Amino acid sequence: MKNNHKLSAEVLGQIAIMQSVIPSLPNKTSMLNFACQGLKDIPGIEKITFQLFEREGKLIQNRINKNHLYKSFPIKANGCESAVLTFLIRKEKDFVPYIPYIDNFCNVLALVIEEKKQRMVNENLIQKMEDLVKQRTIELEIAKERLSIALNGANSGIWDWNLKTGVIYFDRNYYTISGYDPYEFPGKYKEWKKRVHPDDIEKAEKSIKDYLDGVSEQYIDEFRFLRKSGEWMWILGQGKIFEYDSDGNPLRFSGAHTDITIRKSAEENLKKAQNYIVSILDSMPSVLISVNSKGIIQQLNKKAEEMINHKSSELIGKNLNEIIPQYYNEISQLETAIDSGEKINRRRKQIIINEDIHYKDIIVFPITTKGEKGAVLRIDDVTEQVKMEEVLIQNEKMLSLGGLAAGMAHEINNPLAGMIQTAQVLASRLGAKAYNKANLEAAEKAETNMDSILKFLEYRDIPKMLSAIHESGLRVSHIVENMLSFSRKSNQKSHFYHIPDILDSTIELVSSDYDLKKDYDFKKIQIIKKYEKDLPQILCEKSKIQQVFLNLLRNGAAAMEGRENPLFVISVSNDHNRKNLRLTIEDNGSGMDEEVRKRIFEPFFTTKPIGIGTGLGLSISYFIIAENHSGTMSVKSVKGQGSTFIITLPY
Amino acid sequence: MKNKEKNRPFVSLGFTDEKVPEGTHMCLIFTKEEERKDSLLKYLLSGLKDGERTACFSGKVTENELRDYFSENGISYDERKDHNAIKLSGTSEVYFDEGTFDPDRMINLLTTYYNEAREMDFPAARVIGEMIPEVEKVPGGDRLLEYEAKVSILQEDHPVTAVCQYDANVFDGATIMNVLKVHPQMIVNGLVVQNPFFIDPHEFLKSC
Repeated sequence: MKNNHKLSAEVLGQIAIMQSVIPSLPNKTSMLNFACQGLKDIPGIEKITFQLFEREGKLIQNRINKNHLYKSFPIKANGCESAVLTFLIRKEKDFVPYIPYIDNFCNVLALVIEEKKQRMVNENLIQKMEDLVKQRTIELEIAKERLSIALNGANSGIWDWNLKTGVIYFDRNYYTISGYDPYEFPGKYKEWKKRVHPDDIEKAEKSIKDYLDGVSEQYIDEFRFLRKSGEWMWILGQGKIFEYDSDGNPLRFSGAHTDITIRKSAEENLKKAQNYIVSILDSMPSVLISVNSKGIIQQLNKKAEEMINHKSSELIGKNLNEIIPQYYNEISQLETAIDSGEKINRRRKQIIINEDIHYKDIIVFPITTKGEKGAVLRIDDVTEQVKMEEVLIQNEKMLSLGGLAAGMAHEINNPLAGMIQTAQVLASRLGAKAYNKANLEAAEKAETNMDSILKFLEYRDIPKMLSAIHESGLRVSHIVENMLSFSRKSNQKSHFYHIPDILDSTIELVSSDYDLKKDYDFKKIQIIKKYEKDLPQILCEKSKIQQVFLNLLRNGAAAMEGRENPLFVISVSNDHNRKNLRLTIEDNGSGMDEEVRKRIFEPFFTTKPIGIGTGLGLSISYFIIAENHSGTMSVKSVKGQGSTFIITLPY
Repeated sequence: MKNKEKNRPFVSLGFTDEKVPEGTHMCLIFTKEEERKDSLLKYLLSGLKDGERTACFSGKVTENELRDYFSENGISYDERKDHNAIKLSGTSEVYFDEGTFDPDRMINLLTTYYNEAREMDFPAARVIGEMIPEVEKVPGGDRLLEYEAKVSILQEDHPVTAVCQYDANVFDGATIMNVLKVHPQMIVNGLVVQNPFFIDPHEFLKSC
């Protein structure tokens, strides 16, 4: 470096370059060291030192010792913090021209230090902010991790849909819960849509649209989603709009999808179990109706729907008493049953339905469901059972009565025969053979004659009495003969017959019956025949079956006596299930009440005037059908409206 | 600039707009990591692209970094290495052989490096090295400026282009200033600047 009194371009360039390099130096000390080292080349300088301290003022110190002048240049940074460059000047004359440049350099240095300091403050702030952001990021990551773990535990994945760009962010879980690799498919609506079950997509899209359009207040939906494996999984979708644009339109729609396949499966199983139970209940022959403690219908089975003739949807929630008032007595006891916890059992309750008597068994079971008390009403129609029981009882009675009658008949028959025979002998000896030798000799021994005796008998109506005894004996004999038919095995052999043929021949026989003509005009009775085609033939004794039909037609005709339009409806049908023929003979006669109906087949029971009929016709008919042909015979009747006799014959 | 240096071809440093004459001794003061890497990688890449022999004396870059960077720019590091076109060595390994800093040994090394390059028909040779503050602690470390001055002298006859990297964060300002004084050219704010501090190496060595 040159020493002259003029300014050196190299020195000035050096100062300029120093000003450019200083900002690259990291701290104040390094800058001051750099400055001291660089400015040392300024002419007239012996040495440069620096001090770091706080002080104001530009020229700090000018002091002179014996040989040297010291000049100090302050470097103000930020108004208070400063350094001082102190120049030990050897030749002031050489140095002085550079003072303005040194001043300028010091100002630049001060600015750089100030800027550096500010930058450090800023960097510290930035660093703090970065640290804060890092901390928050870590916390967020932890929170996300926890959320992810929680969601993973809950088998959930997050989605975040930017409605403006159409981009959807799916988190890792979203993919992994359905078996995909993380981010395996792009975050696009169409990617989601093509994985939703075809049967669910319409509903799923509507749920989203309704929520975004504000039609529904919340977005919650369940749909099936395609796993990577090709299986379907059930998803519970929930979401919320988190951001709106300036026009108030939804911008960000976020939420979670949860795998609810297990729950759905459990629900399906429960549904199947419920359906199974409902199927069982529906298949039961009993009417089942569950009610709460106030008698409000909660549930009912198919049989109940049939009985009430309404769908369950129309009945649930209604008061049972309004629906089946005929069970008022039982319903009124519901509360008692529920309170006591004891069931109520009512057997053989008579209910009139369409003017027919039906028998019902009614049981009220108190139940408790989820803490709420209620009851199940069970109604069983036992009409057929009751009738069957009646038939069985009737059978028992008939057999016992029949047996008794047969036994009695045997006992009566012998003395009766003697009585009739004796009456015949008496009539003969006092009638046509009155003047025979034995009578004449007996009259002579009695010191009378036959003319006087016959006149006496005539005067006392003895011949008429004898005739009455004989006729009564014959009548009793006829009854006994009938009674013996309860036990007598027929000698006839059974053959296959076409029942309608037997019916037709019987009708023909009845039409020409003299007695019948006398009592009833059979030809005035309209007969409607309903014979099913292709009926099977029945193995039976024709004469006995004919006897049964004859009895029924005679009785029916008698019941229709005096009716304006007497009518027989005779039908024969094939009951394929039970493998029997069902024959009904219906009249529109006077009918009978329940008491008569129950006894109609009893021997000697008759509603005819005394002396007309033996009271054995129907009981013998019953015996023929039930005992000889293994069939059944019953009667339905309504007083004043007619009767229907029903016969079944097996084939 | 002496006459024999006037007709030297210009070469690209890779990280500056200006080209410099072959055999330039350049000082690069940096404070940021990206400045260090950016200048180092671009300098080496530029040399390789021009077919020069290149060497890097720095422990701040790895072979893999060079391999990746060169690969991104269509050059195979391994292939060039096999052809002696590039050599990577750590600072301590090169400068502090046997724990001492010997400027003459370094000058011999650079001389050999350049001569070999010429023998291997490389059109030119360049080197970039980063000095580290350990130099102030090892024996011979006080001869750093002597070394830098001798590099300038070496380049008069052996125009190996040299860039000396100094991290301002780890060297004191006074050292930086002293270092500048022995480099004829320096990079200031990305610009190649003729160094007004520069002291002729021969004069500098006389004053040592």
